[in-house]
Amino acid sequence: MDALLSASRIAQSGMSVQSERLRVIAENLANANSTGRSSGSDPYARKVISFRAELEEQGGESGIALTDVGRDNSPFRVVHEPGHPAADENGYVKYPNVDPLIELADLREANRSYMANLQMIKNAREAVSALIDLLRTPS
Amino acid sequence: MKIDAAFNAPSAAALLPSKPPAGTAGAGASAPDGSFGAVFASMLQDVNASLRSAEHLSIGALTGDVPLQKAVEAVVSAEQKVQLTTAVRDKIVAAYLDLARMQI
Repeated sequence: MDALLSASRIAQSGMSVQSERLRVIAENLANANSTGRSSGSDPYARKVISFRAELEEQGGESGIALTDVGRDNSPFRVVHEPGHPAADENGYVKYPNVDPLIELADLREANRSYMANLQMIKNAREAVSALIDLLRTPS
Repeated sequence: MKIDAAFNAPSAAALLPSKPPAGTAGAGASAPDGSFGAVFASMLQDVNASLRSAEHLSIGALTGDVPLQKAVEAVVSAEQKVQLTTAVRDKIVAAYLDLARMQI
């Protein structure tokens, strides 16, 4: 397999994974205030995404793959709101352990990483096109 | 004579796109017998297969079954293969014309 083509395929796997990451961040942000349904039940738990390097069989090139979308085990935010439908007998409501600031920082990082992979594909493509152009120049 | 094979190539290659593409892309990209016709034919088959898979993936991306990145990557790589094939073809045709214009 041509090295430049492998490079753009690896970058493409990076882009896929980063878009999964964006999806998880979107879920976390959208559910930042989702409480449980019944009184005293657990609210939405923040999701955490993890990756691993994935070795491809033929060329020994390392792409990236999604390992797992797990749950963040940190404690929930507890607010005293006796009127809330999800409040327990003492009037406390559990809110998700999502911090929008952290999610936004993560969002920026995922976005930048996506753009870096995109730039990689663009450069590999330019290199291949320039190489093919060598054939076109009149001798 | 090698040039004979080059002359015969276009007629042989013109028949190829109607045949089904040979398996996966990249299968038999370099023919061992080395005649230009055979090499170009397998190149065309390769291009045809990757164009078809690019089209397939594009439709999949439109319906949402295939990630957009995969479809874009397939289309871009097919485009590059077409560029390479046309460049090689142009080079051969130019060589043929050079010979045809030769003063005897």
